[in-house]
Amino acid sequence: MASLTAAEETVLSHTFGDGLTRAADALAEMTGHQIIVAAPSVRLCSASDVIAMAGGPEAIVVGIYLGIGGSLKGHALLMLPPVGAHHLARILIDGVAEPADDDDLVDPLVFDPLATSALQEVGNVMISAFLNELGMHLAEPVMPSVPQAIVEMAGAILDAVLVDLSMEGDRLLAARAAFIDGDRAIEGTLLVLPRPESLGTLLEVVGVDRL
Amino acid sequence: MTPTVLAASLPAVPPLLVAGIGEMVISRDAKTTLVAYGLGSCVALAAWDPHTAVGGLAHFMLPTGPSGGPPVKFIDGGLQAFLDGFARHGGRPRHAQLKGAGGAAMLAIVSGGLEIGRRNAEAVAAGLESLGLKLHAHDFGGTNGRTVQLEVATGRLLVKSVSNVTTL
Amino acid sequence: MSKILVVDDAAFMRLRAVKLLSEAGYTVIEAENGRLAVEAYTRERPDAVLMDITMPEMDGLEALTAIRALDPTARVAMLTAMGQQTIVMDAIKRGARDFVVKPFAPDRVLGAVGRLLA
Repeated sequence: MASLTAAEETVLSHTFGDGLTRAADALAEMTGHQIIVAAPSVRLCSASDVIAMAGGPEAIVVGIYLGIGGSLKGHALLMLPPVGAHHLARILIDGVAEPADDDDLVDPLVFDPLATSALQEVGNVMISAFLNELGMHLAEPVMPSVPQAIVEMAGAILDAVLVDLSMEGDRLLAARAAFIDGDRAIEGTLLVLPRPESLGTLLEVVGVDRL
Repeated sequence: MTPTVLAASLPAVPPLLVAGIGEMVISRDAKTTLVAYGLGSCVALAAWDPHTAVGGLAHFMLPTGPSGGPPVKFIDGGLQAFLDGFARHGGRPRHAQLKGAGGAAMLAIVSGGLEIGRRNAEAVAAGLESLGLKLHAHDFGGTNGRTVQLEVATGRLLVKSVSNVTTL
Repeated sequence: MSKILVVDDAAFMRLRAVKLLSEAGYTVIEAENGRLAVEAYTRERPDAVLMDITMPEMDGLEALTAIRALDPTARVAMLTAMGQQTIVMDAIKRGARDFVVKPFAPDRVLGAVGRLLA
C-alpha cells in the first residue's frame, strides 16, 4: 500500500472512526463505566510507527489478538498495561465498582484463567463491535477469530502481524485509538491493521455508498 | 520493582544502533550497542569479530521472499548480504562469534501459524552451514519475545525477555 | 425446572450466564465449543440453548445447524458479539429463534430465554 489520496483517507477515517466509537460503546456497556475515546487516528505508517503506537517495543502489555477474516482481512489488537488489565478484569468479574489496590497484586504479569478469559472477551466484544460497524457496508460478513491473550513486550506481540503485513510493502494502514475509563483511569489501545487488498474492497463499497 | 518488571527494563545504554525488522546494523565503535527489539517469530543474528572488534546485528523476518526491498528481510538472500556488509566494515565472518536468538511461537495469527519462528531459526542455521559457518550460541524457540543487545566493545550478547535476562 | 445449555468459549461469559440463569431459577449446563454443544444437546436434551458464534473447533452457526438436524424442535437463541445483518439472517435461516448481541443487558437474555420456553 504505497499511498492514499486525501479523499480515500477521509473516507477510511470516517468509516474506521465510527468503528472505533462502537468499540468504545461496547466497552462502556460491559463495564458500566464511561469510556472516552482519545487520539483516534487512521493513517498510513511504518512498522516502527505501529510499535510506537503500542507504547514502544519493550513496553510490557497485555495483548489480546484477534484475526479478521471474511470480506475484509487483517489483524486487530487490544493492548492494556498489566496493572490496568487486572483492574479491568476485576471490574468485570466482581461486578464491583471499587478496584483492587495495586499492593494486592502478587505479580502484575500473571493472570488467572478467569481474568484471562474476561480480557479475551473484552477484546472479542470490542473488535466485533468495530467489525459490525464496518460490516454495515458489506454484502458478506467480516468475522473475528477466537481471541488470544498474551503478556509480552509490545514489539514481540506485533512481530508476526507486522511480518504478515509487510510482505506487500513497507507502509501499512493503522486505525488506532486510546480508550480511557474515566472512573479508574484504565487506558487501553485498540489497533486495527487491515490487509492492503481489503482496503481496496472497503473503499469501493464505502465510496459507492457515499455517492 | 518486582524482578519480572526489572529484567525487561534493563535499557541498552546509548549510543545505540537499532536493527528494525528487515534491517541490519554494523559498527566498529566500541562505545556502541546494537539492538534488535521485540523478536517474536523474527530471528536476530549477531556477529562479532574479537580481533577487529566489529559487531553486526541482522533482524530477519522470514526464510524466503521476493527480492528487492530491505536487504535482510528474507534469510535466503539476507544472510549473505549481512555477512558481506560485516566484511565490508572489517569483520571476518570466518573468525567471528555468530549467535542467534528469536524464532518464538507466540501468536497464531490468521495467515501464518505458529511455525514461522521455528522455520526462521532453521533457515539461519542451515544458511550458515551452507556457507561453512555455524552458530556458537543460540536462544531460539519457546513462547516468549526477546530483545537482544550486542555490545561492540566486548561481544557480549544480552537476551532479554519479559521475565528473564541471559547472556549468550 | 427448565434446563438451559449455555455455549461459549469464554469461561467468563459462561460464568456470567450461569449465574444469571441459575439465579432466575433455571438449571444450567455448559459447553465451550460447538462440537461439545452438539454432544451436550444429544446427551442432556435441554429445553433451550444460548449459543455463541465465534468458537474454536466448531462455530455456533454450524452447531446450530447440527442441533436442529438432530432435533427440529430445538429452541436456540444466539448470544454473540457478532451483530452483522448477514449473520443474523444466516442464523435465522438455520433455525435460531432469537439473536442477542453482546454486550447484553441481563433482562434481554432472561427475556430471550423466557420466549424460547414459552
